[in-house]
Amino acid sequence: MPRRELTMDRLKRELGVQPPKELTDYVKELTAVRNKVINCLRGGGELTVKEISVKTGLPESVVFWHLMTMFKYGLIEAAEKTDDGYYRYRLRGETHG
Amino acid sequence: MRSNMSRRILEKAEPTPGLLNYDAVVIGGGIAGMEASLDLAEMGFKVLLVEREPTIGGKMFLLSKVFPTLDCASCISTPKMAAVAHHPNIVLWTYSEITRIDIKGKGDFEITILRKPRFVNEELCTGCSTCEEVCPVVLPKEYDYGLRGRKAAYIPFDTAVPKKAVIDIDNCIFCGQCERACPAGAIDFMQRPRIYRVKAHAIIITTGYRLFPAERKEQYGYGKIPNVITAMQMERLLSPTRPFNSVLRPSDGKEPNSIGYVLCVGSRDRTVGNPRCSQVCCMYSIKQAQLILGALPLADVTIYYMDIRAYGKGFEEFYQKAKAMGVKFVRGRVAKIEGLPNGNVRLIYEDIDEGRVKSAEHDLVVLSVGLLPSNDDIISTIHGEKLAVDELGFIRVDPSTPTQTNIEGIFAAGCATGPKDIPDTILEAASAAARCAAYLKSLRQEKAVPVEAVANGGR
Ligand code: SF4
Ligand code: SF4
Repeated sequence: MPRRELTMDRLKRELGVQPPKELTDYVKELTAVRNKVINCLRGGGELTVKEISVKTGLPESVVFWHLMTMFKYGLIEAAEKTDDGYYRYRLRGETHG
Repeated sequence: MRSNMSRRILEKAEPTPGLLNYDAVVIGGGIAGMEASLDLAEMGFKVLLVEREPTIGGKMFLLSKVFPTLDCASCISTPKMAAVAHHPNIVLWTYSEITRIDIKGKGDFEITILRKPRFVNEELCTGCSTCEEVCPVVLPKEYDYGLRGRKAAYIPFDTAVPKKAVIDIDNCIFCGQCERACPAGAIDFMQRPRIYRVKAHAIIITTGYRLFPAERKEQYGYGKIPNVITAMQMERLLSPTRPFNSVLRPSDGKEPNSIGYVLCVGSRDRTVGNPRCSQVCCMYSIKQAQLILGALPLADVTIYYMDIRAYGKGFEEFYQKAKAMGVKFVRGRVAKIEGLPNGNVRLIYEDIDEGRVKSAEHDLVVLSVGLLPSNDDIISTIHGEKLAVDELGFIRVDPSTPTQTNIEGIFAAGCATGPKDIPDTILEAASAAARCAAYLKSLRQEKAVPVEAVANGGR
């Protein structure tokens, strides 16, 4: 069966549009940041925001914002809470290894 | 960073032939608009409810609980949202904007409405969120006031009405992943804006309020100090639909032990042009303080205030209860807020009772921002007569016939006429509906206007 043409392709063709470079650059950067956080948690790691920040070199507020977004989309879950009031986070479906 | 795609597509807006007929058009789908629409619909009038956002529910839906009863806000608003969506006498247009209102005569309004494309076929969309999951673009989520991200393809929240996806075309990178993944084949980038002309005999304006932009009080550091948030952000952290299952501060995800509230931010403040009391800031802060103590029993909560205005039924008792629970009240105007290297926040304030300047350190500071009018867009669309507003921009209503504006046939309710709490908003919306119904009936008698049949308005 021939592949249905996407309405997206028609939109691009008819309006001759491309996403602005700043937007694609932003998405690339964002994906790289998110992957850094995910990689940090791979293999069953359970880490606090601060620990992820130290490992990745990303600011704590950036790490936290990505964790909250990933939490919403079900990619991560909270593990235990430290005595100082910080949660540890882990990738969903991965157990402590 | 946003592309100007929506503008280019809006240029392609197509007028829809014909004129749709309704008894009344209600503008704004928050709690006031929903209440007014339902009341009119129950009385047999045909109503078109127009909401600018992709979902109805307004700001109330985003709140945690209501004061002073601590009833769950979404438990009150969700049934109303569903009732609006299913009422046979109500046609609901979300993601739609009023672009022009022409006053043609007595009880004769011609309203031009732009229905923006969602790029999602509402009939086909099942609200499954697959498009959202695959979309690679993450942006600050408006409904959580930036506390976490949302995608360029998104459903505003789980109980949105209608629960349909929408594509934020200005932030779309045209990767097509959503369209490939959608199991219902609902994504349609060929959708175009449609312009409708609607004839109505009456209008009710329920456009609600805007929150004071906290960054305008530069000395409070909002937007620069991560652990200075607004009370609406705290509402999101406390609400059942919150980003996470606890109150965490944005700089590092710590559960705060000590939280400070600064009242009257952007209200009762001539330096920002808003001398008026916002009516609700004292009480919502006291409510949040109680909820925080429920969520974080070991936390300290301090409220810095000028004076507490607990004027409504049960409000004083609610205030006293907060004190009894251990909420600390400090009478003092906060002069400055500073961020500290450990993420904590220092307040410099004048302790009015002790008559001296003091400082205090908190893990998290909440700015209780005031309410501003949100009517500008509507007012400028009205042609034929000028809608009167007060000195701050809220719609002026006749004190002897509240909810009646200076234009015959146009009514207003809720925070569109001035800051007020939820019970007063609902009361005023019901009053506007009753007044509007009486007006429509008198018109019918005068002109023998028939009850309008909904010609071909879609949901
Ligand atoms: S547009 Fe498609 S993928 Fe997105 S929520 Fe609707 S049905 Fe699901
Ligand atoms: S086409 Fe746009 S909305 Fe769809 S997945 Fe790609 S970026 Fe997201």
